[in-house]
Amino acid sequence: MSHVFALAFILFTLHPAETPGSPGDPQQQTSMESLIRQATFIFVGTVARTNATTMSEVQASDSTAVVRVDEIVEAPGAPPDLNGQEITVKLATAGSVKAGEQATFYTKGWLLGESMAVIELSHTRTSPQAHEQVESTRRKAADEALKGEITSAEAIVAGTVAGVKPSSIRHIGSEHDPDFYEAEITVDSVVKGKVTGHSVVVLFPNSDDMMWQGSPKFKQGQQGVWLLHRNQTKMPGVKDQYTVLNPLDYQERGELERIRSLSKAAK
Amino acid sequence: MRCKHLAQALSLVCVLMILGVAGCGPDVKVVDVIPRMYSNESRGDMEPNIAVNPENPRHMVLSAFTPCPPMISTANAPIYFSKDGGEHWHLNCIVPGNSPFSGTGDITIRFASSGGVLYAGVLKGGAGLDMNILRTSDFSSATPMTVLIDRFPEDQPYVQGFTSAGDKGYVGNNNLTNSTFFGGVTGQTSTVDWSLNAATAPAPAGFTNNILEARATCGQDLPSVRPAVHKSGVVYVALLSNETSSPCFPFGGSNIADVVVLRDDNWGSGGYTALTDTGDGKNGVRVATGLVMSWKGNLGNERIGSQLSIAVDPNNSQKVYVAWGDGGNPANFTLHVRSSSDGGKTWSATDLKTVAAATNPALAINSKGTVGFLYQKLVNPGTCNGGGPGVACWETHFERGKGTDWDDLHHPLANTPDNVGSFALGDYDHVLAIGEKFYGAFSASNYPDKSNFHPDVRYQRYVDWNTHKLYADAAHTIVVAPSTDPFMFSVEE
Repeated sequence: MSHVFALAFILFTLHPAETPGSPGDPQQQTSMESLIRQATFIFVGTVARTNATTMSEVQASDSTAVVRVDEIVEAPGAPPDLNGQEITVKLATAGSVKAGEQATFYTKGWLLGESMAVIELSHTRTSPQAHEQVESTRRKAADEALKGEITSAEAIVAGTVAGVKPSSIRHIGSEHDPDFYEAEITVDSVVKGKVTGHSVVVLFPNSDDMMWQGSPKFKQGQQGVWLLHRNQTKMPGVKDQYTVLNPLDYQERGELERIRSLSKAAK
Repeated sequence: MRCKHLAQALSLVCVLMILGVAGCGPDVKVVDVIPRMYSNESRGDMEPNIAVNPENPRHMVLSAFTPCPPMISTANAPIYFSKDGGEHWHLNCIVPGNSPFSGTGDITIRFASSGGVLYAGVLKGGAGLDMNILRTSDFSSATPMTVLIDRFPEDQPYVQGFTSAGDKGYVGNNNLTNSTFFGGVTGQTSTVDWSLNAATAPAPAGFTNNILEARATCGQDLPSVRPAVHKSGVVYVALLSNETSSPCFPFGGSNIADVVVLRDDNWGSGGYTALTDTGDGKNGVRVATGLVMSWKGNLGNERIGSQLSIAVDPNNSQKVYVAWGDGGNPANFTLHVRSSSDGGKTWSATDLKTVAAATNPALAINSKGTVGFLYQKLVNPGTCNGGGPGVACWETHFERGKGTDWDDLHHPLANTPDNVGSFALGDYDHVLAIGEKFYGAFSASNYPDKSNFHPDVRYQRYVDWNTHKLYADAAHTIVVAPSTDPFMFSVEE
């Protein structure tokens, strides 16, 4: 229930767009960070029309507005020419914007078609700090995600792939068979856990089936940092063996110090 | 007035056609469903499926291996939908789970015959062999679909539905819990999850499962399990039984399998036991036995191995068609169509239709009893453009027929190069019929050349047909590489 109150608090403090917020206010920063974490599309826009829509699939009402995108703050995967286009915003609160008003809109994407519709979480007065706030929050979230993998990893090693070969694990009789391969990694640095000897063997899916496209693949001579897990999957035959399935489980060698730092922080 | 003159002119043309001056073809629509605002995408949007609301056929939903753009959602995968008969399509990310590479794993979708509830069977994106059965009463809302069933390990959920005193839902699937590869004992994996009250009851919404396989297997069946539902309550399910003598999914080799059809006469309540094979006395009639099915071999760049479809005549529950693919040599993987007129007890001894070097068979029967047969055939060298000289091409055909008499469209729905990447098309496509009209979905290379498609093809994404280029923006300044796109088609006689 606490997160409901938190969201209510955010909406209360940030909407309507009359709360510029003080950059130094810790409470305000926390609220803003929470809002950014929920948002998938953040932009500066000018309200072109209220009670209006750009898509026939979204019915116009006092909860909808057509907003021109003036500047994208964050929109991963967005059409490259979104700036200047009018889109439909389903407002968090009916009647909360006026034509001509400019604001920073924190939204979740909804529909893509001839136009686009988004669902507003909140909007604020435009602020030069918006980009920095978003970048800072995303960096923090990325570190948290990596820290999560570091915490769940049994061992973390840096090294070089000495060789790759098919594993002896039985194929599972599915077009989604992972086709597990073994990579032998010559270890030159241990960040976490105990590693016996100078090398470790990790399993990785060599299949190019859609199900395994996101899992890292390795080849001889490849350098990097491996976050090694056991029992990461319920697939048969891999119990108690090191696997590398999550894209985060393999990092470029240049990430070693960041991983060391996050690993220490995770303890 | 102009329209009147146009109509008169068209009538004259058609009269000339009927007189044999030319062929009077059906009304065909082919639409690339990638929305204009997603013109910057260039992934392999393969393995499509389509649902059309029988109560309002202007409402359509299509699925494919499409990841949701992160600006929309990183948690849910998309469906495409149209509310104007397929003219315009939209992306809506409401399927729980989202792989950044494919959106979902295997996914199929269907409406029941009334009420407008959409059902999906899906391998949850990013969750491996975790099967979800889902529903939503509003496919255009932002609310994620409701999870009715969540089970591991599973494969290829294939959904059908019908409304009669509530929504009946059927999801054929390969229940790997029983696979000896996964520590199961029986090796009998072909299964149907079914419900007599799928629309409104809380999860699991009445869904229960029947293991359909009655025979011993080599350890596991092939993944295709396909239901077909008739308004009388007759339900057929086709499966591929992997024989005990089969090498059982040899990597790069062949399985040995039987095509088996089961039937239930009361919406599934009878346990799918209405058909007994006269040869071995077991449940389910073996339509064809000892078929060699190349496993994960490639036909062109397309993997093959488990291809199956079934359709029942909406006016005659005893008339049923089945199609499958077999062949130990991937280059000669061959599709077969056979039929039964006695409810699946006996089957035509020879093929009603045979297509060599083809995959992705899909069958439907319309209200006139015409069978629609969708398939994708590799022609090497082909006649398509965009892949370079002498390249193999995938021709997507839709034939209509009765018995052994079949009529192909005057131009394939698509005729596109095979060299746009591996697994370019996916493991299935789909066709269905509402009234006399057929609706379907297939994937193909979107290399923009009008001669590669049926003349009525339409793209929503930014395209310049003259320069054969795709663009990410309206001003045509950012070129997008060709890729595999999902296409909707309809054919009306």
